Amino acid sequence: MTAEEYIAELTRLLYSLPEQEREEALTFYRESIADRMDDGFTEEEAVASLASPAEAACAILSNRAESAPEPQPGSVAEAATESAAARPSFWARLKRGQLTPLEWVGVILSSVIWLPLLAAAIGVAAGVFAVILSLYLCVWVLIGCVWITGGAMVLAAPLNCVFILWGLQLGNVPYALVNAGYSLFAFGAGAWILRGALKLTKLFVRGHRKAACAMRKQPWPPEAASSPQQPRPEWSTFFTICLILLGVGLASALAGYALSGFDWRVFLTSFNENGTILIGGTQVKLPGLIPFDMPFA
Amino acid sequence: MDAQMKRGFLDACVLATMASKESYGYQIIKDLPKMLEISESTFYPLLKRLEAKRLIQVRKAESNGRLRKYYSLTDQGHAELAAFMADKQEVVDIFRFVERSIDEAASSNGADPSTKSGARP
Repeated sequence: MTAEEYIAELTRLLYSLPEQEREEALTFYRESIADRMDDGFTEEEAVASLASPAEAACAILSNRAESAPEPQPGSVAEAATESAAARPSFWARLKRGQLTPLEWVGVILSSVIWLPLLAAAIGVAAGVFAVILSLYLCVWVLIGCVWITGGAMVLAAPLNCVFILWGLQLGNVPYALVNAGYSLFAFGAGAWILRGALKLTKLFVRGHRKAACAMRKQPWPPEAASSPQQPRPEWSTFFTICLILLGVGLASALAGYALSGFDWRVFLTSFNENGTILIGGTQVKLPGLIPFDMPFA
Repeated sequence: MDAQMKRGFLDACVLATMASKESYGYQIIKDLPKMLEISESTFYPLLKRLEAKRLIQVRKAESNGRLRKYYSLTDQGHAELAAFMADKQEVVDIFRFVERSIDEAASSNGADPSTKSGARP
């Protein structure tokens, strides 16, 4: 086994430790191997002279469990006698089925109390699980909504340009300005919302993988140091432009509103069933005045 | 040596290896008495435990172009060693007691072997 294989195996086995603790142990073992090699061992010999990764991990994990909760210093001799006198706790023996007969009788008699409690606990756990599952689905639905909102806004931006043309044809400049504002704002804001949606999705998927790794006791990150992807400069320029469009759109809409003498009707566009359309307060017949085919009627 | 007993002595021996000057992992293992037969897998948790009890302190320093951890005793560590030595007489007394009991048993059996066989039906 090479040093690298040894360390990789140990890393995998110590997966459950906090990163800092794991790294500390790995550093120790790396140092041990390096020191032996400085002392004339070959890499193979150095690794072979250590305990197997499984043994090493076992020692680290089990000692951690017993040394963590007792910070007070006791003398060396005391520590030895204490551990000799220690007897496994009731729960540890119950797990292994090694109770005394009297304890078994107690367990069986008291089942009148603990069985219903256990059933209740299982019920509560199932309930909690259901809540978590539905929350999880909710998150996906919410993320889906963000995608749809952003996508709809970006798509609506070019379609909305038709109203600018119609407004200009009618000579309603404020209305055209307001709709130009709508388009720019929708595109800029929509692009940002899509970006946010992508980020949310990535974050969530990452969480999934992390959880899956934790369940399989595999180290995270799975590939060696999955470097965080830097956003490409073109994209950051694009999003800066989108931000500017968003601002210009708002200004344009406000300018249109001001130009109309603050007439709220400039914001209105509505299709009527009798083949007319209300554009900025003016009702016009659809086919006569407007040379464009209705894209959505 | 018996595992329980070894464990009691191990802490003191590891502390003793750094009593005069700081030392590092591999060196400590080499310095330890051969009969303790310690491997890294027991040694690392032991060091962590001593560190948690603040008996030893760690310093990182470069050696041969890489970082190495050097361990040294804290004041508490020195005190712990002194406490261990203070128990020496008691441990010796215990060995004496066991030894004397065995000797007495051997001599009384040797003097009167009939007692044992005579009790049997």
